Amino acid sequence: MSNEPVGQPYAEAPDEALVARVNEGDISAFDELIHRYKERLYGVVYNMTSNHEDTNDLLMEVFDKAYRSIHTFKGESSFYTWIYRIALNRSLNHLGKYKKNRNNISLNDIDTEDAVQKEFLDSSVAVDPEKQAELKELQIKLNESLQKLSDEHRAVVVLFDIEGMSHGEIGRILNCSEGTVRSRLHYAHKQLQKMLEKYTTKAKELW
Amino acid sequence: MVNDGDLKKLLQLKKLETPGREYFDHFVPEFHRYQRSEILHPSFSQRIAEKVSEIFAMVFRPAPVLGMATAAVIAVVVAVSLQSGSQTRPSEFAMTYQNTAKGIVKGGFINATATYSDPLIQEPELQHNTPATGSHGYRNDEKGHAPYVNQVALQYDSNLTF
Repeated sequence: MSNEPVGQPYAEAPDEALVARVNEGDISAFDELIHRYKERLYGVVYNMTSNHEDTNDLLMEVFDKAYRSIHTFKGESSFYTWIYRIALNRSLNHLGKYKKNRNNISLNDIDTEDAVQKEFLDSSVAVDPEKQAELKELQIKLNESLQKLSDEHRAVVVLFDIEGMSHGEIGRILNCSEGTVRSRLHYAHKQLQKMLEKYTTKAKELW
Repeated sequence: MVNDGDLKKLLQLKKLETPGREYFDHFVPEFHRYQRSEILHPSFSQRIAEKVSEIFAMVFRPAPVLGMATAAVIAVVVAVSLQSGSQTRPSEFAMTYQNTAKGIVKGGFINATATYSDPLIQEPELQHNTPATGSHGYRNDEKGHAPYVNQVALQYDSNLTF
């Protein structure tokens, strides 16, 4: 049981202490957990679905599910692993529902103009409309390629290449061995390399 | 073919596809609104899930329910049997009340409902407050059973004058 007084900010508190506070009825502790994970989970769900609107809905559902079932969290894994697992499962369920239409997902929903931070790119790209258009095209192709991967392969790419997790962490989240993670990653990279081959030159010009 | 490094850089672009700071700043209040609306208007699937879980709880956990039902039935049976064992018929109760009210004497009371077959011969006895008397006010027999109340005896009793 945490000894922190109710109402104080929990910036320094470990996740497990916040979970204990939530189980004692302290809702603000859950707000702190949301604050910690909202952006990272958004990234996971968005990169699985490639749709901002769906991501918003799914993220609400993920946190709602986490809040409702937080009493079942026994601390056998880290909270981080636990909530990522919820987010991935929720995303996979969502994708499973729309499997038939998966290849027809509209990528026009992606707000690439806001999405790309100017400082990430060469300054010439930021001001050059032609290069911005190329970047947008590249992002669309990237999303299309990701969507063509199987859910399992996309999940490892999202967690490893985009979220920067280790093989071990991914294995714990996906409930599979590190070897399986490596194998899926290898296969997914090969697939993506093949699909994005003709965009490499454009990409190289942009960074 | 795109090498691993190039692919890594391409995928890093995905990290930047975020809805912006404002979205995240308002996320927590938005989540609270979402939760409230979920409580007030649960989705169809949630309602179905609740119903299914209720049904499952009834179907797959019969033991506690049956146990409670059995306990309730046993309790009712015991209560009824106890009550019927100690119950007096209305007329008897009236008599008992009348007689005991009349029969209170120092150190005990007159039990006006003697179990004698010929009450005209037998005198009503002076009964002290002893545990041999049941809750009905009648003296129990040796085995502790409640006595049969003789109507003639009751008539006799009602004619008693004190």
